[in-house]
Amino acid sequence: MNIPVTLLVLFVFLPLSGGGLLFLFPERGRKILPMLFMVNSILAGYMIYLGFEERVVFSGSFGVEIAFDGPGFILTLMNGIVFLAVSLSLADRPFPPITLSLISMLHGTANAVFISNDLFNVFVCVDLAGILGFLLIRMGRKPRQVWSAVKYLLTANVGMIFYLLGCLQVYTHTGSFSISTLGDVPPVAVALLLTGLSVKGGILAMGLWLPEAHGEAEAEISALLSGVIVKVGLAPMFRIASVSSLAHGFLSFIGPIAAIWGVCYAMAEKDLKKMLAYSTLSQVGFAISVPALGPFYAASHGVAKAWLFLSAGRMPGKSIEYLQNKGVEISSWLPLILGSLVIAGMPGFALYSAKGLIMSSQEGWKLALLYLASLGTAIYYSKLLFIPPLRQGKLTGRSGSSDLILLGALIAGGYRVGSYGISQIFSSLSLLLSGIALYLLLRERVTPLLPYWQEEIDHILGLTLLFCLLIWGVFAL
Amino acid sequence: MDIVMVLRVILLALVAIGLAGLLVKRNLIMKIIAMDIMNTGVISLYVLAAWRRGKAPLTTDLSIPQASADPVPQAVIVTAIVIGFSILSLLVVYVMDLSRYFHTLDTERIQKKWHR
Repeated sequence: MNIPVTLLVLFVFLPLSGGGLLFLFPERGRKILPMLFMVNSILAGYMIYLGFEERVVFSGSFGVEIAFDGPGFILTLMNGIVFLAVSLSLADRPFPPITLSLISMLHGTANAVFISNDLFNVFVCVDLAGILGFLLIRMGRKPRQVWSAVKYLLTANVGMIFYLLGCLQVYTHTGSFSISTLGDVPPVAVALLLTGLSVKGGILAMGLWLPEAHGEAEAEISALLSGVIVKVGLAPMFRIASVSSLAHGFLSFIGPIAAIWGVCYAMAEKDLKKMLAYSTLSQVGFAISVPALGPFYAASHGVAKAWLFLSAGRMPGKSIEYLQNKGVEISSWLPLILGSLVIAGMPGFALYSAKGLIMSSQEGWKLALLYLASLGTAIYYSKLLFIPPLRQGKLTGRSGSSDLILLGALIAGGYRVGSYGISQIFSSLSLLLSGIALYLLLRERVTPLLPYWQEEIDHILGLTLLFCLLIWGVFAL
Repeated sequence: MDIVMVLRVILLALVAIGLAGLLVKRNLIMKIIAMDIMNTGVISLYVLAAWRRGKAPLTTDLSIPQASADPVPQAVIVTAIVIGFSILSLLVVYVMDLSRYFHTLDTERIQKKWHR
């Protein structure tokens, strides 16, 4: 193994074993962890710059495989940046000492998912990420947190049982767990794998555990959930879709529908954090609608949404109406507004260029739905744009530096890949402005479109089963 | 009929029973047990798959009888058993916590209290 590969594998093992050590010395972590995350992001950024690519296959032909490639590095970079920002803003707040070691382990696990290219590694790491996420959601020890965490773990584990069945199908047909052999497996295997992952990735109704969990967890934890754990479910999907035409066709079909469906929920939501969670459901739809470009979109969204959740944690209240009436200190107002503009598609940031790339490779009804979803995104983020600032307070210390890191990453992403043709800037600006105008027309008139019972646990489980049968049925024909 | 086929049908039925229990039962403990039944069905399917392939493990020596099990699914499923067990125990612990807060384990009633 050459040096870069050894170094990169270290970024799975260091955070995992470091997490174990931090149980013993929790105080050290406050200083060491941000440094670890920073080195990780710098390394991942450098690898993207080099265009480094390598595959490592372990133990012969059983398909235990690690792939260091562009999509993996983009998500690893996002992972490093989000964790860096979260660990910096955790430093200002009191929290149970165990949090730091859980966060460190979650970081290593997420890195492992982003670089592994075989089904069983993915299963183990995704499940580990799920357990760590469960422990983090219930960190505040409120009853509602415990319930949403239990709901999350139960649904996610049922999803992973489907996934295991899919793995078995793949193994009996190809004699290997490698994702690169998925090209010619029977449709039922692909259907089972995708169903399992879509519970984690928050796609359509299978992701409905997500709003409660993200809404109830502490703000820093929600940032990790939306920024990283959802992407842990999406990353293997992108890998599967790059080799299996079945999965590719299905994801690009379901993506625009998921995007507009999330918008319908977010439009009517009055709670700030829950609205951000519904927005994640919708943005996931954008990411999977073009699986090849998905990693970049998912990474940009992860950074932007982590920023929004971090700033939502500094708000004096949870209800959007209350915030609109009372106003917010300018130091917490600025990140919230900037983050909303980024997700709504303001030119100059990472999500604008990612959205541009995705739109330009779509056509027909999918493009129409995605435009509609972008308009809807601008409409519901306008709720936040009309929160007035109060002239007091200023950006301070470490939380300020986490804001700067996330902002810098978003601008750099927009600069690196962006296309700034006049027509593209014009169309996204006009979408944004007409979204704001429509919000002013519609405000007060929007009532909940979709009822709460859809988020009940039986409903999520039943729809998971139906979804699996549906994919199988559609693909087998 | 082939014995492998019969076993496979039985195990798939086990998975289906677990799934049905998850959907029908309202009590959280019952849901968790149903989830475990489903998990057990899948694990046994892996064991069955290992038996069927029948290659000698980790050797090319043909003097060893050929009807031994394929080691890969077994190695894999040991990991899955451990993960399933840890998730099961975590869930049971926190369901205990929930019963203290909500004084019921009925999911419908918990969700009603939740939404109020």
